[in-house]
Amino acid sequence: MTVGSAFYLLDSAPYGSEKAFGLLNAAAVSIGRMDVTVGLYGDGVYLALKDQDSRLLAMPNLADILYAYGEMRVVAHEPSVLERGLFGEGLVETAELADEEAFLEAVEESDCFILL
Amino acid sequence: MPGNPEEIKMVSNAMANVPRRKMMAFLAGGEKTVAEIGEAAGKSMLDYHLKILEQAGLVEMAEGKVRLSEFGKNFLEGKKETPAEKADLSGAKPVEIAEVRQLLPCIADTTKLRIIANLAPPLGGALKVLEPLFPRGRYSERIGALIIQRGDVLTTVYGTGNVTMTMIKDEAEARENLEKLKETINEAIARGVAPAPREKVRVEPMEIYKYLPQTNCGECGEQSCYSFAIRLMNGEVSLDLCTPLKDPKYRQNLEHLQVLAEYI
Repeated sequence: MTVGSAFYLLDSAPYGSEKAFGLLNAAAVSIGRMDVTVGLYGDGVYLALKDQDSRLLAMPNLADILYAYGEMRVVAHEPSVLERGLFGEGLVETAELADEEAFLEAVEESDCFILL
Repeated sequence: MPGNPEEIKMVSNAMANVPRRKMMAFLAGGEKTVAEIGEAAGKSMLDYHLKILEQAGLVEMAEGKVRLSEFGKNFLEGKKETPAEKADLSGAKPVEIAEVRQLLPCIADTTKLRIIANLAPPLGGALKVLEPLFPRGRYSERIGALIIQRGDVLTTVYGTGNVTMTMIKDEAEARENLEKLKETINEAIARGVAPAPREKVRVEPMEIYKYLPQTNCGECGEQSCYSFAIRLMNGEVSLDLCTPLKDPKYRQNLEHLQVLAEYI
């Protein structure tokens, strides 16, 4: 039984630091205990891009974590997607695109807001 | 009209948003004013959403009125299922297991794993046609994936080729399950004909319980016949474990249960 909800915000590029990896791991271990939403904002929206290949970086494919833990709701901030010219790119199927208001609503609906 | 891959992705992303899908469905009824669309689909960020739909080539706007473009109409038509489309597997190519990419821990049971694998070439929309092959399979339009439950293991096959499996013991079990999945899919592709749509029958534990001996003998290892029914529903046990059912007096019950088990 879930006891609440948490919104994990990723607002920086998924590779180049362990921030996204850490955030996704924290979000994954919260599943089952609470409803989990991962919000992708700013450069964080790059995490929603399909066909990532991180082998040369010697890092796990972080989009795979989104696929593996389908219980996580993934919300990508659409204006950030547009600003980066990514609207014509394929996105991970489980990611929802949310406009400014819908994204803020998802934050407000959650009991906790976690930003690493 | 969108044609190149980037334009197609733009359309796909334009439709990956609930308010915009509502707007498109509303516009299927004919030309509307912006105000009418706001009433029907919500006024929040209305101009923004309409602009995205226009940029994707799905709608046309002029003088405060909005209508579906020819492409928009065709797009919505294409979303409707037709028997001819459902029966076609001729374009699909046999799949191979390209790789098992990652093993991650399961949340519900830390002794089990989740795996990410890849089937190539991707099956795309043909996945939907394959749904009847799997007794507990369901195609999700929203994520474009076929979700299959077999016992505790939940397998999700995406149209793009990604496959995830949960509650897997080890990589060997994952590969074994992937091989079975591949064989089932490739047999259907080799036949070239889509499996007949399966009759949707929802089986409830109480219905199963009705045909069990209801003696609560415990020979199956369960505390009661009802708990056996629930575990049977979950695919965790098989009917063979209920030894009293082998008694000739339960022959009809067994037949009923065998039919019901087909729909679990």
